[in-house]
Amino acid sequence: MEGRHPDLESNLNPVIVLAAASGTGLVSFRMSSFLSQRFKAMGITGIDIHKLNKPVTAEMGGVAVVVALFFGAGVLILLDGAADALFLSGVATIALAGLIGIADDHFVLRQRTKAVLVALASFPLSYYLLGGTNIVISFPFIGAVSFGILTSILIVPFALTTSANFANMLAGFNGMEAGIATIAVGTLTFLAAVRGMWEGAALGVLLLCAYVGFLALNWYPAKIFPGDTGTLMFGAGLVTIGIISNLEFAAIVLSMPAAFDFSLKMISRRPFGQRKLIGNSSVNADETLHPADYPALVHAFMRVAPTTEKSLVRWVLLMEAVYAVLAVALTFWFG
Amino acid sequence: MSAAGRHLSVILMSLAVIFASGGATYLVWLSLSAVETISRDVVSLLSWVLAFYIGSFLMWRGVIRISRAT
Repeated sequence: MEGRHPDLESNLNPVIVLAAASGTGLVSFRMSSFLSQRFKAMGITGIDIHKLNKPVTAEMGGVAVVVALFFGAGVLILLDGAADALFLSGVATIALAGLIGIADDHFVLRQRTKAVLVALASFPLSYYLLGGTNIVISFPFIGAVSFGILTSILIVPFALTTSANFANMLAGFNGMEAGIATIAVGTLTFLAAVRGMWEGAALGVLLLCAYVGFLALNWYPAKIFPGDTGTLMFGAGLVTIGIISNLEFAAIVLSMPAAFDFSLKMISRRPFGQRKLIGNSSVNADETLHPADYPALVHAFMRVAPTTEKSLVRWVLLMEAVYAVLAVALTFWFG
Repeated sequence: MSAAGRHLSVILMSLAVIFASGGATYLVWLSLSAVETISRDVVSLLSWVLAFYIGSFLMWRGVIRISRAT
């Protein structure tokens, strides 16, 4: 099966791709380590509310992921001639979402403003797809569904802002956001590589390594939080890789844990005001978590049995892994 | 039920919602075979959203029931 744009396939040298990916991971790790100290000194911090001693931790760590992605993409472009328009539009879309995340971390944008800006970040990818590439999503049993011209002007911006904001909502615990990103992007990268979608696989492996490098510093006990920069980038990255690799349905399945979190939050009477109105989950004296009194995926895990932050993150990551297996199985089964 | 079992039940309930909402969407899609393609796709998508929302609501009821039983 051909990718959305076959040119990159002949250009990519596996050794250079691996070197770029390794370099991306290393840059992400070193940058995260540097920023965890630098941002703390600059006062760009948040309080880790799920620890008894409430440590002050560096925020906006997603900047390290943005920088690492630029580095990896730069290496691929310079050394391997990966100046493919689709690859570049993918990098630009993800990076723009990251820049909006930086603005959000810095200025605290309104939810509505953030949604519109992330939708606008899809412009590079939408513009490329306007050139005639039609998105056809294959659903199990139902078959191919085509969106025609609506793809560029409606579907891509809507999917990007939905995914980015989903990712932004299922967050707030050490290692959760970067862990989910690692599993989801890793799964899409694997599927893209197996099916010969080299543009998506190259972009995916760079993003995967960037998140793995960051996860080393974000894992419990976190030295740095991803902030909206890290979460918006992941959501945008999932959709971008899914679209350019013809793996839209797999990307949808991988988004399901975050979709559940969103849907559960919609059950309450004030879907977007619960945290202001009711507050956050808190930590008990025995380090187990006490859920806030509104529906959410993390609160479901906290309510059914006592759980610590570390255990909660492992259960959510297990859930993401289950959906990753489902995404792989459905992709192979239904093609 | 052990703590691990109760946590696992959250994941299993989510899978049940996914498969049930997918099945409901397929039934709607099948029942609209005489309708033009775009309307059929849009109605099927909306039916999935509705089924997923109702499923999430039932899942939360299940969570509350498990938490009260412990």
